[in-house]
Amino acid sequence: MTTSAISASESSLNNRNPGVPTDERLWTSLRLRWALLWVLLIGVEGGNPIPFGWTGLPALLRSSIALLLRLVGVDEGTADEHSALLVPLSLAIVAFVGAAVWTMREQRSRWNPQLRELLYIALRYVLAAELLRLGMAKVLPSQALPPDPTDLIRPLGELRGCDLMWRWLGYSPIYTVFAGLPEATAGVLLLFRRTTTLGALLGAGAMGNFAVIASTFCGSTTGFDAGIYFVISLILVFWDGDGLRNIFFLNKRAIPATPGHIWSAPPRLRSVGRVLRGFTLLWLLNESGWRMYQRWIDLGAQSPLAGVYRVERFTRNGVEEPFAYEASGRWRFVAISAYANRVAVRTMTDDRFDFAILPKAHESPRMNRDRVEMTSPHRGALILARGPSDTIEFRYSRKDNGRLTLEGMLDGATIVAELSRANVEKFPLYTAQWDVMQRLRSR
Amino acid sequence: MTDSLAQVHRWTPIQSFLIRFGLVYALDYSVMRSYPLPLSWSHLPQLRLQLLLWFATELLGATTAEAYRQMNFYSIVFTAALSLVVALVWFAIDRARRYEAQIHDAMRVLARYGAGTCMIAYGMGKVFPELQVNGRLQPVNWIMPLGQIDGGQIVWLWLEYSPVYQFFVGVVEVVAGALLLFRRTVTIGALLTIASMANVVMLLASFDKRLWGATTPADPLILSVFLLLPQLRRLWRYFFLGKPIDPEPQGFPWRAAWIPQAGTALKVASIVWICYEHIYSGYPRFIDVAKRSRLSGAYKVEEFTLNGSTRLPQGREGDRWLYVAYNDDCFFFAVQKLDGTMVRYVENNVPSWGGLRHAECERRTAGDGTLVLRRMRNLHQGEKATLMPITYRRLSADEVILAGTIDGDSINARIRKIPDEGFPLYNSAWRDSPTAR
Repeated sequence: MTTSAISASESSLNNRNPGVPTDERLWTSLRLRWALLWVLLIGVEGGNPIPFGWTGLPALLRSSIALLLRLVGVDEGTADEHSALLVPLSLAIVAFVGAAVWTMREQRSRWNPQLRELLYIALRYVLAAELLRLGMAKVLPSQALPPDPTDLIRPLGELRGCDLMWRWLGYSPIYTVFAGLPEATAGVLLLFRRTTTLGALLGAGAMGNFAVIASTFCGSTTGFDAGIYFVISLILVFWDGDGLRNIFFLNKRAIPATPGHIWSAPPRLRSVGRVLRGFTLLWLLNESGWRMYQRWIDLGAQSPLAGVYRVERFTRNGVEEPFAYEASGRWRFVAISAYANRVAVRTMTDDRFDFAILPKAHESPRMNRDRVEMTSPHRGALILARGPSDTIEFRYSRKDNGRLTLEGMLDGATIVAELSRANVEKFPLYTAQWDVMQRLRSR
Repeated sequence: MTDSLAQVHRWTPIQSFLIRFGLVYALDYSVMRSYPLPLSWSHLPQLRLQLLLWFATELLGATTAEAYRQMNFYSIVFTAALSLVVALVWFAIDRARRYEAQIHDAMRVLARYGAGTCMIAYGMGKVFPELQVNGRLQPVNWIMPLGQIDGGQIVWLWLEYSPVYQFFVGVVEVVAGALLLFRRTVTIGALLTIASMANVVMLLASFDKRLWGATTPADPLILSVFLLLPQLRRLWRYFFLGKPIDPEPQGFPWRAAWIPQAGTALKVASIVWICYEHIYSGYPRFIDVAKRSRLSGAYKVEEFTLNGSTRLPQGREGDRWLYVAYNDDCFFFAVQKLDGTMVRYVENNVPSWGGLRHAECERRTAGDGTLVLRRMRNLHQGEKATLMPITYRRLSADEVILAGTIDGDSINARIRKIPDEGFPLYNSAWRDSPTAR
């Protein structure tokens, strides 16, 4: 949609040429304005390059979309489920209406070169911010993490496709870093005019691949989100389409199509532009650099309770239950997650119970470290939650040799489980890369 | 234009050495992999294999088993060493260096066709999944706790999960290979090949060292780097400095008139061969993958006796079977025990690789019968596998009785099939994919 709008607009951009018919210039103006408004709305909604949450704009935008969707008969559940698909589509419609009104009120097309320049800048920065965010979350792995202890005892069939995808990506920190490098590099290249085409090519490859992975593993709506940024990359690639065609397919002389500075604005306004650019770069450095680094360090925390445990002894109301399939309710394995926020239990018949450990952590740069500190004493209590109003208190007692005792009331019975920690290095899945990454974080 | 390259371009000694190195590398690669044309009739690949084994065992100190296991690794080292030696000798002898343009052109043609046809072959194996992947994630994997799967398996499981993504990856590889076959599009073809193969090499190397040595597809990557090297200055100028660039000089440095005709014939023969190999010849295998064992699936073990007793002796309580799974192609049979361990067996009577084993498997498992299992492990030289026949008898559509002696114990198990769709991992694309017709 937008791609064709841009390519068509390119063909008639030279609309200072009096020979171009008025209708065509109008149509070009409409498409240019539509594309510009759409990418600005995408940027505001996605917080790229700068989140405007404090202004209330994104919230207002989302409320407006929700209202729009309700007006056309989409119920709240469907809207939530398919938000990745419906939000960009709604934004495209809103942008079109806005562009139509704008073009009707202001039919002159003499600002088209400036609009085109603005569009080029907006596309670059919105895409760069998204690629930097995604790339740096892999270069300093915090997006996909190695499998958690609670995953190690889970049959593969119990995972969903999306879980499998993230476990796969997080399995090897080396590969995660490698996968993030093209995205982060593309993000950096897009920040400079001269290297925009290369950044867009890299971005198109990375986002195209990610869109296909996300839609085939996590559902089409998830992939659509990445697909939007793929489309933005393609627009920037086609911006330089003639040059690329000449280099890669026709072997002819190629001239880069990077637009030059076309502003005839006074120097003061130019200075404002430079300040704005500097501020955006600093902001991106902070968001994708410093904050990502803090998060990466925080993810290195590990609770002393974390691990996979074999249940050596299990008593219910003081009666020991044997390690046999017939003792169906007896616990077989217990796993406590790295940040002590989840417990998974598997019984003799392989039924699974998942508990969240309360209280839930609040988003902060020390979120996981704070949680881990809560479980550092050798004795204490864990508040386990099966549902919003179903909580159980379990006391734990930890010994340094990997022994752990859990004691509490579950479904009206007193449970005492004596656990011994399994050596994670013995699992075939284990790779020394997990420890290397852990050591890097600890430094 | 014929002599223009030789006259205009002044070859530095480093360039002269590099084009010789590249030509020998591409030539050895063509012999080894039979790309772009099959050479098995000439016995050259077999001769090269003997040389490679001698090189790995005598010069690098590997055992023959290691050399076979890490074949690709040793092969790359061998090719690089051979190319280095031959290029050095050739460079020293040929002082006049009058045929640099011809050597360069021959190197590029071989590298283009070698890498291009190889990429098409890799891609076709994913566009029309044959034997490497089964069109869906296999039941044995569904019952495996994640911790029991190793890095090497995860790589393939991930690809097997999504036939759509597999197809996408295949298309990218085929397109990259096809672009390498034409002079004008070689730059974009080489870039796509480098991106695609660097990803695969990194994936294999970081997930499993053994897998890297065994299957790494580094050769098309290396050949594409040869092809891209002369373009780097132009690409840098355009993409980093934002300056215009002139077209790449594309001369044809051969005097003899038959050479262009032979080149065209080689191109046509390569394309015909690759189409034959992967479409015509591979199609029956592609169709075969859609067929599945009638026993295929994951089962919960509802009743189990070990040596005639339902109560297992002390110390062996963990040996009770919890789950059983059998793959679509009759190859893998796996058991998850109560203590969480996974034991994998292979069907002895099914060919491990090649042939139309899915169809045969479907036919054999239509009624009641016997599986002849053996433990899945590498056998020492001269060692014979212990075969364990196990009978299966259907009680109903989803209920089966297994009986036999496995690992020295007499077992009897009543198992019930877990519906495929009952697993959260179940992907509707497994049902809808072209291989599941």
